Amino acid sequence: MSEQLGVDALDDLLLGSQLGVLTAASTFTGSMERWVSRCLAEHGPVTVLHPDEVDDTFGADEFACCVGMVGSLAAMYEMPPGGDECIEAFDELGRMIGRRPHCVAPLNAAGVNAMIAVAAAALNGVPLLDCDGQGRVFPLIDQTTFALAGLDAAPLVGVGPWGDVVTVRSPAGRAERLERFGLAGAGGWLMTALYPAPVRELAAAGIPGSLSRCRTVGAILRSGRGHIGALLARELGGRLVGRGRVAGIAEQAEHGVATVQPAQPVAVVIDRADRPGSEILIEVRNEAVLVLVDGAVVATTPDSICLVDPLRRRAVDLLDLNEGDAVDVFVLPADERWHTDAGIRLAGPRAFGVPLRHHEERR
Amino acid sequence: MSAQARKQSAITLGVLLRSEPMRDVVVRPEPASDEPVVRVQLVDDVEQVRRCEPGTVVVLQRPIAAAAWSVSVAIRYAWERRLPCVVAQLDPQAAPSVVRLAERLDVPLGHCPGDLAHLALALAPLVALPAATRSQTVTRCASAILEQQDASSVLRVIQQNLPDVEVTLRAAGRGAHPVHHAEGTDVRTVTVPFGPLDPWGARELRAEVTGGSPEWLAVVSDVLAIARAQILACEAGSLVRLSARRATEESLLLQVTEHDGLDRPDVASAARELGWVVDGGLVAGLVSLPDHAREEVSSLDGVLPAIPDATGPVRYDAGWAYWMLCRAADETEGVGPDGVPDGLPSAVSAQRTLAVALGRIRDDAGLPRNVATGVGSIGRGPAGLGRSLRHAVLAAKAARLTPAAGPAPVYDEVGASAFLVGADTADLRPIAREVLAPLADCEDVAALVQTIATYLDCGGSTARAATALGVHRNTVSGRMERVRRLGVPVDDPARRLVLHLAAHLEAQRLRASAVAREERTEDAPSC
Repeated sequence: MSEQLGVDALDDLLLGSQLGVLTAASTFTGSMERWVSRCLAEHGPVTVLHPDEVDDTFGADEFACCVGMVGSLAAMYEMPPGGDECIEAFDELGRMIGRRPHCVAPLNAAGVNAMIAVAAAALNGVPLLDCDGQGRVFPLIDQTTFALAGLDAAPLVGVGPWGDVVTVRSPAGRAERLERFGLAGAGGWLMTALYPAPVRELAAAGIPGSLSRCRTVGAILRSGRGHIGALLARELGGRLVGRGRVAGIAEQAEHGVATVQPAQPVAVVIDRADRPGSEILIEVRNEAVLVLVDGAVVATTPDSICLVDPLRRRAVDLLDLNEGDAVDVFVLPADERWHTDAGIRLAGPRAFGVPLRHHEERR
Repeated sequence: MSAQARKQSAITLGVLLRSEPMRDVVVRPEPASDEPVVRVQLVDDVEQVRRCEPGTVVVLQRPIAAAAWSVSVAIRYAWERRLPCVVAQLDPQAAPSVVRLAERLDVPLGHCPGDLAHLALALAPLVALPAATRSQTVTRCASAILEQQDASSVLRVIQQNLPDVEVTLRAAGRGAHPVHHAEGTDVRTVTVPFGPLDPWGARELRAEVTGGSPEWLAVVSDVLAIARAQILACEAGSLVRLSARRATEESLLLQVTEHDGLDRPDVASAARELGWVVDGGLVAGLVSLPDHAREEVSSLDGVLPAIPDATGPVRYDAGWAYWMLCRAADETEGVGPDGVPDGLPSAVSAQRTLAVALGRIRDDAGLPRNVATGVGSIGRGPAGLGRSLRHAVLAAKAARLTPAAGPAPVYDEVGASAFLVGADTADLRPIAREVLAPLADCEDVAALVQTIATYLDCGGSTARAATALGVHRNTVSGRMERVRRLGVPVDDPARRLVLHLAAHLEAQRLRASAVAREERTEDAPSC
């Protein structure tokens, strides 16, 4: 059943989109939410379609694409978008594939890209699919369930802060590498339209309900009731690892094994308050990829490792995290497609330079 | 070989950690040294640690050796698999949480700054050939022991190289060692006696070994045997060196004092090297044994302490000499050639200082009872030192025979006693006995002889003699009457000097005999 997403839903969406996002999360300056809010005010609410409704709504030859910001969030705050990048990328992609997409989907309904997808749908006047390709944030554009389903990110179009338009038309599997080069020259971020595909195929390949889950999480966080970590874990089908205080945040010199991940590894050590003497170690490679409790592996990517601040009741961003901060650590299971062999290869710990057997395997 | 037998014959973690390849590896927490090690495995995939057999020392290869997450996981697996140790390349300062984890799970974590593959390669044969490793341990200990110069450093080397071994050097057959072991700890004892070569009596090296296999006990025994030989060699060397030095000093002192030795460049040079100053005013003192115990003088070697501001002890005559500088009688107080006060004491002050110091040594240094001390007169230059030493010898002898003279009498104050001690020669002694022969059969011969000497000292005054002897004057009169009756020529002026000297010499002899008797009685074992 489609629904209209208007300005009144943005607070929940904004807060909920931060969950499970460690390095591209809640350092909001306010400009992003004001921009999305203005888009909705000017262009009206966005129609949100659940993937189950796609077959009834679109024909087999009607196309969709994903929209999202690719690159550095910090760079985007330094050089904010002008506002029409989503339109330009959407239109240019339409020209490249010879047809205008009929709807958009978030590349990932997490962090800033959840909001950008809403703005893109509003600005281009198309419906928004309630699904995404990651179910969380992965750093590479081909770490998606779309790619697992055989869809290719290219052709793609990225529009940068200086108005550069980067287009990629390449053989399958090369888009990530090529866009990464474009990013460096364009100024650190590209508003990107990608994964052009028939709407039905894109919807089937995506993780359903991603946007709705953001809004649910936002509502829970804003409710102000209960043990927030345990509550979220229970509501979202996850499990609580523990609560504690940050004892150390250290950049690591070693990756483990060679990896194409762009960021330097970081280790977060948490002294558990619920079990004194015990420590939680979270290995971060762009995003949290491994949780150890006293050296025992309790969770790995692709499951989503989430940190929330139980006092301020919001998701934790690594940039805001300090020694002594209280955090709840819990794990949300990834979509079952991530737990296939291909999914593990694409987004399991080894893909992040952590050569551990996937946690599911050991269970 | 069965797994059990293999484990029993395996080397222990303690031995492995003390091996040469592990020299630069820092291990925390302190490992249980008796943990058997059956294998060393170089691991480049942390999942391999889960498949290691118990008793395997894991050496992580880079890059997983340097990442906090992978070392943490390896520690956890090691704990689950009961592995004795994990070696990584993670700076403990940079990853305190990993060190805390290792401590909490009690899994020893080594930090190796060098090549990890090379380390694993070097450790593997040590573990694979435990007998060879034990031999290597013995060899390494032997090399280290042979570089030591005394017993305590030898024991320290053993402690450092043999894990879980408490070694002591002690008299054989003493009771249990006071080291306390945790209840249930398997402690075995290895003893290596010193045997007849031991110059200090029957000592032994005793090692208490915690949880050692028979092979390890054999290693400990071999090392103790090597240590025993080195300790004996060190002690013998020390004794020889000490003895040679003492002999050199004794000879040098004689050369300096009796033969104008300082005129010879070699003697002067040797005296300078020893720091001897024999210019200006000097006062000598002596710690002396009786003549009949002259052979035992070396027993005081190493026992006598130094005296502040004095030179010595140096072996001299039947004892050990000290001397100190003072102002000579004709020198004014305390100004050196450059106008700076020299700080030298006066002669009297130096004599007192030396007397007090020697008296303290005699009473407090645990010396035999027959030791006597004396201080000589002031002298000047080498010849004066020689004379002061000779006077000190006489003063010490007088002190032995005249307890009233005090613990360390000064020659100048002893008076005739010192002269008489010097006159007690083999020529005069028979003459003295002949003069006093009429008294030989008297039971109180000693009292009679002493009374004659005192009576004549007092110029024939019965009253003063009685006071000096501490008896009633009638006692003196009675004794002198008996002496006269027995035919001793007390009143013959021509023979009075001979009688006076003979009485003093015989009194000395009788006192010396009495002192010797007392000493023999005290030294005899009591039933």
